[in-house]
Amino acid sequence: MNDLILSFMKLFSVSCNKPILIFVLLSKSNHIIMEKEFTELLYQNQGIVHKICSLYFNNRADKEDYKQELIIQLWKAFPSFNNQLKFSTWMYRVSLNASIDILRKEKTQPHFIKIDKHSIEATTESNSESDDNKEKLYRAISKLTDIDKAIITLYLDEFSYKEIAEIMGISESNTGVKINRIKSLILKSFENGIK
Amino acid sequence: MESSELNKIWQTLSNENLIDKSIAKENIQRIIQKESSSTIAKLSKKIRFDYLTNIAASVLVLVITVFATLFLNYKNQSLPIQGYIFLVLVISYYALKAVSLKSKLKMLNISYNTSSILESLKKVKIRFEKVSTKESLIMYVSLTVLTVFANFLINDKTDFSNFALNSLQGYVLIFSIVYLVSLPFVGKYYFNKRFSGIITDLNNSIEELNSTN
Repeated sequence: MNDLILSFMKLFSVSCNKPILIFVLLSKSNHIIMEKEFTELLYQNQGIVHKICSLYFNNRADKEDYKQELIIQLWKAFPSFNNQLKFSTWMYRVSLNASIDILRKEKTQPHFIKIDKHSIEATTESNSESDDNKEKLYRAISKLTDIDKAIITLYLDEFSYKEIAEIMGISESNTGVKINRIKSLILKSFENGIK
Repeated sequence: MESSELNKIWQTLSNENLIDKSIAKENIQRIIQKESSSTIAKLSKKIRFDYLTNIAASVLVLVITVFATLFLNYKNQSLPIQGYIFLVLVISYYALKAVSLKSKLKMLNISYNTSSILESLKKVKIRFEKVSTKESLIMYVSLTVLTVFANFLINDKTDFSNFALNSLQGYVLIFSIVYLVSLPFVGKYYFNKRFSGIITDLNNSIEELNSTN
C-alpha cells in the first residue's frame, strides 16, 4: 500500500511540484532507518520480551501472540525513545506497561483467554537442587501482584533503585521499601516451600 | 538465603527457562508491519461485531418505521401511537446499546505505554472516567429526550384536557418520572457491573504503588 502511495506521489510531483516528492522520499527513508534501528536494538535486547512474557503470560495457550503484541507495542512507542534512557530501561518500561495493560483489557472479556495449565509445569520441572531453586523462585514470583512482579524483575535484572523508581514512577526510598518487602516474601516462600 | 543468591538463581532461570529461542531479525520486521497481534484484535472483534449488529438493527427498525408511516399515509391511515412509542423504544434500545459498545471499544484502545507505570495507570484511569462520563451523558440526554418526546407524542395525539392518572398518559408520565429519577443510579450500577474488574484493578494498582510498604 505504501509503495502504491509512493508511486502515485512520484507521478504527481513530476507533473506539478517537486518538493512533495522530496518530502515523501525523506519520510519514507526516515521510516526505513527507524525500522532498521528498532529491529537491531530489539534483536539485541529481546531477552526482556521473553522474560516479561514468561512471567505475565506463561499460562496462556497462545503465548507467541502476546510476545508479538509486546513487540508491536514497543514499535508503536519507539518514536518516544530518546537517548536519555538506556534502550533496555525504555524497553522494560514499555513492555511492563503493555503487559499490565493487556491483562487489564482481558478482564473485559475473560472468556476469550485460553489458559494452558501445562506450560507452568513444563517450565518448572525439577530434577536437581538448582532446578528446585529455579522452580521455587519462579513460583514465588508468579504468586506476586503485577506491580510487585515488575519491581522484583527489575531488581533481579540488576537495575539501580533510581532506574526502578523512574520506571515505576515512585520515589527511590519507596522503591527500597518495596524491594525489601518483596524479597522477604520470596525468601519466606523459599524457607516454607511453596505450595 | 542471601539476595545475591536470588540474583544468581534468577539469571539461571532467565537464561535456561524464561528466554525462548531467539526471534530472527526478519521475523521482528514481519511482526512490526502488523497493526496489532491477535490478542487485542480477538478481544475487540466480538465487541465490534456486536456494535455493528446493533447499529444495523436500529437502522433497520428506523427504515421499517419510516416505510410503514409512508405506506399508511398513502392509504390514508396512520400507525397507532402505542406503535410509534414501541418502535422508538426499540430504535433507542439498539442505538444506546451501540453507544455503550462503542465506549467499550474506545476503552480497549486506551494505552499509555511510554510513561512510568504509575503515570500510565493514572492516565488510563482519567481517560477511562472521561469515556464513561461521556457515555453516561449521551445515554442520559438521549433517554430524557426520548421520554419527553414520548410524553408529548401521547398528549398530542390524545386529548390532553382529558388527562387522568388512570390512563395511558398518566401511566407513561408516572413511569417517565420514576425512570428519569432512577436512571443515574441504574446507569452507575450498570457501569460498575460492566467494568468493576478494570476499575478495581486500576485503583488497587495505583494504591499499591502509592503505599509506602
